[in-house]
Amino acid sequence: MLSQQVPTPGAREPQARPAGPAPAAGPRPLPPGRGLEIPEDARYRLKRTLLGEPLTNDQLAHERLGKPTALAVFASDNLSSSAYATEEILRVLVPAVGVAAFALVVPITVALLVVLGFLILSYRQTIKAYPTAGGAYIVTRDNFGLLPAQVAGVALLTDYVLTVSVSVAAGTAALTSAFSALSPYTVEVSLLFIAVIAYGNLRGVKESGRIFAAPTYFFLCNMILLLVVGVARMLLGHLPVESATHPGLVHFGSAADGALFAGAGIDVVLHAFASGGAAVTGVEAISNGVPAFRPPEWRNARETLVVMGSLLGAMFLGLSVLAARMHVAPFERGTPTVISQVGKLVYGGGIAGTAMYLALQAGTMLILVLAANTSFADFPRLASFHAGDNFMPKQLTKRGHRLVFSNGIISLAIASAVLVVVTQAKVDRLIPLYAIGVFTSFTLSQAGMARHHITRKEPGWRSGLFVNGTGAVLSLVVDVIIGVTKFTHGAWVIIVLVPVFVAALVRLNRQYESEATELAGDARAAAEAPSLRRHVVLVLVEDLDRSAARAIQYARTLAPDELRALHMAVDLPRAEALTEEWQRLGLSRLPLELVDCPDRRLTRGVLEVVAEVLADGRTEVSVLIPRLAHRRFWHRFLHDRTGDAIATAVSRLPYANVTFVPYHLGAQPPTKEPDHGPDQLPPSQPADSGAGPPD
Amino acid sequence: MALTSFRHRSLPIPVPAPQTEEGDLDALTDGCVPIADVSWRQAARFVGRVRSLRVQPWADVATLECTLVDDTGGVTVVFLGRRRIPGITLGRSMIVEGMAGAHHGKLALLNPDYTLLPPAFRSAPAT
Repeated sequence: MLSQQVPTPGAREPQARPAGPAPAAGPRPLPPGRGLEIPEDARYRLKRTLLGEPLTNDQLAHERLGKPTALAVFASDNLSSSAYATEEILRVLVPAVGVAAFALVVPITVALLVVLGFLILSYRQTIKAYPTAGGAYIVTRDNFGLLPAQVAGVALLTDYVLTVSVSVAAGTAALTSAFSALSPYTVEVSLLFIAVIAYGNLRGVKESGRIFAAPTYFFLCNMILLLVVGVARMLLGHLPVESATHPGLVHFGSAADGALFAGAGIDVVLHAFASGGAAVTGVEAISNGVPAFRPPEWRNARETLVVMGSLLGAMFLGLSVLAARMHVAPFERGTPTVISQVGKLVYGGGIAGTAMYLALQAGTMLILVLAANTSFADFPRLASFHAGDNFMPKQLTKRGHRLVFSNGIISLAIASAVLVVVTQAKVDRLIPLYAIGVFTSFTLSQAGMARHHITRKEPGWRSGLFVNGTGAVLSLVVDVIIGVTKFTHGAWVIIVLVPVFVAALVRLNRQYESEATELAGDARAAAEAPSLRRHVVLVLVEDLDRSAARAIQYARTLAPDELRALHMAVDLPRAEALTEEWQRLGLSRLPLELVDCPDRRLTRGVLEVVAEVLADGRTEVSVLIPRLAHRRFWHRFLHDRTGDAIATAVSRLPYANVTFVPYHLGAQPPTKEPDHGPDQLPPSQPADSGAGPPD
Repeated sequence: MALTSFRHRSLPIPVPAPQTEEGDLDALTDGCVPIADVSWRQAARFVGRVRSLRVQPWADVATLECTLVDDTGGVTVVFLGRRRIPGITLGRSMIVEGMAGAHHGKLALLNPDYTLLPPAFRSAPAT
């Protein structure tokens, strides 16, 4: 039965269990595994089937990611931005300034790349300074204190939830535009994607990295191919130009001469800049996940960060240049996307062109869906930092079956699924909420790093201060731009929600702190304080059956000052019958107390009896509740759970203790001589055998 | 203490007053005090409902110990030398008169006079 052994390196061969009595008297060797057979329950078996074998604690070090896998895990969010950032910029520019948009898109892209560059440089500093656990939360906490850290953390957590929803919704949109038959099921498909990614992550960091690495690299190859072909055709001078006459294109604004340089123009440019700011999101992912890298963590993380930044920069800029050259404008409905139009134009017709185009589309869809994976890697870790500082439920610090923060993964999946359902998986409803949280946390963490340099004054602190200071100022500027330009489009939701959440976390923290203070108060003195004078044991008895007998047998081992059986009389004839039986059997030294329960509220009745015993303030009460231990899960539905309800109620009283005494249905009753095998038991025993006095 | 506030919140169970055919209950309960007013070393006469009964094991001295309650409180009533008294069953109301003393450290009346009141709310089973 004990087939599910805990796997250890070099799994032990289960030895044959000695059958029957040992040939010679004396102790026998321990059986493999445990002394008793404890079959694993069905839930755990299912878990093992779904998630694989459990990982042991010492495997945590092996659950580290090499640079290529880490790039796939932590960069997919960031890299996926290149698939839609250009489009977001154009979507703002084209209706406002018309064809002039194509002149503006590249400068705006370059401006965003400058921000990106500074963020990459800044985060290189962060990773170096906080090699074990980086990220905005830790940096802000160490330099500004816990409260600003909560702001940084919550802003980031909200954004992670949004990233999952946005990227999954966007990936689903890409899928449904290819297979329109699926479009009525957009929400369902999105939820399925979330479930699949959550499942992959529950299987472990390394494994999810392995599962999700291939699509990321597939996208990268396709993008590089697109850019190489595109730039080559551009240099050769036969890049086609889209005529802006398709139905369904966004309305082209009139580019009145000079309007660009008027105040209204700057407003439009800033709005476009803010929309494109989504491209930079995900930069922080690596700095939050430094501990997931193979040692030397900080060096590997920095190199991965630079590779990620360069790839994103190249792809974003390349796509913007191509889109600008070819005058590709976004469509009102969102599909076909800008990247897909660029692909179609660059690759042209023909079999090879169509094949490459389809590969690009597939890669785009995959990377958009997988961007969610980065959040699944980071959200649980960040949440565990919060929880470790008592600002979030403690459950988030627990590592699960496969050494990942399973509760965090499940929370993220649920939160993002709710968001997808609420917004009906519409990307354009989600996008305005996006990016503001990330830039808030950028600002706080960069400012934190700047302060770190000022206080520590480590070698090279001046250049570090310059980089991080500039990063902080730039992030703040972008954050303000995003907050202002997108405020009415939905960013207000985040601006309202983040303080609400922070307040909630602070409240939660106060509760944890007060609990901790109370629990910590001089434990040694409390442990050595004189115990209460009296110990009363009450055995709850419903009938004089073997389960009650087992509880009575156990009660005698407690050696209390007072021991009595307690029967709550709901049914008077039954109470009477029990009395008769009790007196007939004459159980030695064990009085039975019958308590009237005219309103049939057993729980309340027990509570009152216990409260009465406790009333003198020097008595400790133990309530023993016999409980049937069932062999099959459905057996327990044949009985109510009154015992559990009583236990819950009674433990509300101080100095009232509850013990369940299990009676194992279907198991062999205990014998007087433990050396006898189970098959040597007499076939039947009198009903009170278990309750017999031990003396 | 938490216990006090907890006790405070307990709601009384409405039990209809016992009714006699003659309607002379008022005469019987004349001079009765609430159980809360019973005090040690004082004679007392009160009406109470049997809330709990203790069945002693054979090994011990034969005693019938029960708790009588009314809305104001409860008191232990002990009948020494008896294992059972026909009519004294759970939920039965009775009038008790005697000197309040102590039994095992609790306020108790030992072998008091008692008058069983007719079963009111529920019929007691045959004993």
